[in-house]
Amino acid sequence: MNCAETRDRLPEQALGSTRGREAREIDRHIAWCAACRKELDEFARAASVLPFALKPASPPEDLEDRVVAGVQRLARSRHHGAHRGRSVVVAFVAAAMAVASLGWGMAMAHRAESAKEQAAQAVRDQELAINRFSQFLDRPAFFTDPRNRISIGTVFPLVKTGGGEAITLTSPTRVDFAFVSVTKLPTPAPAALPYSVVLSDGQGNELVVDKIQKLDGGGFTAFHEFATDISSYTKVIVRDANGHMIMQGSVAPSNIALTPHS
Amino acid sequence: MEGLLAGDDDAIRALYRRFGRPVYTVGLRLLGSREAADELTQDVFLTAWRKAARFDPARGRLSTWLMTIAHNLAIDRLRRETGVSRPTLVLMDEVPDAPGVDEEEALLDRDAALRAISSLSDGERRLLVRAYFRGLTAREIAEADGIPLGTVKTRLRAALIKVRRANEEKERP
Repeated sequence: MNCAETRDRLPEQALGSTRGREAREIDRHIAWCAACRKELDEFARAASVLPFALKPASPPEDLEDRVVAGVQRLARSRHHGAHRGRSVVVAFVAAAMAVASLGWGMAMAHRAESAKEQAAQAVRDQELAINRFSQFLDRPAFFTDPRNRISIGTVFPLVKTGGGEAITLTSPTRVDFAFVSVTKLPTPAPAALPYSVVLSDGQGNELVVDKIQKLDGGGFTAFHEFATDISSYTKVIVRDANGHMIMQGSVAPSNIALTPHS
Repeated sequence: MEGLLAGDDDAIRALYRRFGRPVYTVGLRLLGSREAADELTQDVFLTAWRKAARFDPARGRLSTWLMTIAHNLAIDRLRRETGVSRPTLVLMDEVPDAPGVDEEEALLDRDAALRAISSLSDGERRLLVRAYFRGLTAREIAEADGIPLGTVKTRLRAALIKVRRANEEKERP
């Protein structure tokens, strides 16, 4: 999404009336565009006075104590490993993106300016991935149920360049998530887009994670929440618009324990 | 924010005393029940704790940040709970008299809100209510009213700019 397309949607974003992919694409754009981010902040500031126009209501007297108790419980649970679990996964995503973006050998072989530019892009990619990923890592309920699992894997190119990581979070009680981040793909022909990012159970069943309309600096991030159980969908496939497979990989349960006592 | 993150009792209470009532109001007026408003208020402050490290004062005020969290959580719940009847929204016409109850900041917030609302035409006010308090997208409003999507987007932008200017005039020394 370019600046003109983003700016057209900023009032709605500030009012909270954008949804799904559109809202995510706006978030993706303002993560790196300071001008659009500034305009959104101004609209958001304007919109934030509107709740004060509602006829005031008085909360129950004991609500304050319950809010304080709830926040203090959450603050204490951080010391039982939930935060560490989240930090481990975020660090993994950051490291995986750094490797995929830079390619240690390539960074050494390039000129200093090129490597510096690649490093700067890798940092931006990491921040975007972490921002996207941390939205659902901020849900402490995920870290309190030992049945919740994280699966991680690498996605390999079937074209000249590229690489990526896939992460799925599965829970018997909450929605499941799939997150796929890819970089360094060659520039596609227009007719090859959109790319389809799917999860496969290896038995002919597939779930769509996202349709990628265009690449951003040779890469993309795909993310989807699933109300169904995706734990059996361990294969990750990226196809072009003609059905040709351009990337594939698989995820496997990791050893990262996501409980408050890990 | 450090106090909030550390679970400091005074810090949490200070934040609640400043914003608890408007957050609860959002819950009650949008969701229609005291139980839902109670749950929303607790969710908002828990979310504020989880996101406290990412609050950037350079990007905006604390009230903007917290009321955005409250609004987003309320709208998320509105969208999940389809088929439930919604209360009629009541906007203030004037700052209510509540001697000895409201702190100065809360009165200033309501004054800013009234300035913003009074700067709008009836049509703009209804449009913002539907978009902001009911969570309708521009497309949904356009389809419901049978008018072009671009027209709705233009009107939303114009209404929000008026609200922004009304606030900027208030903040000018």
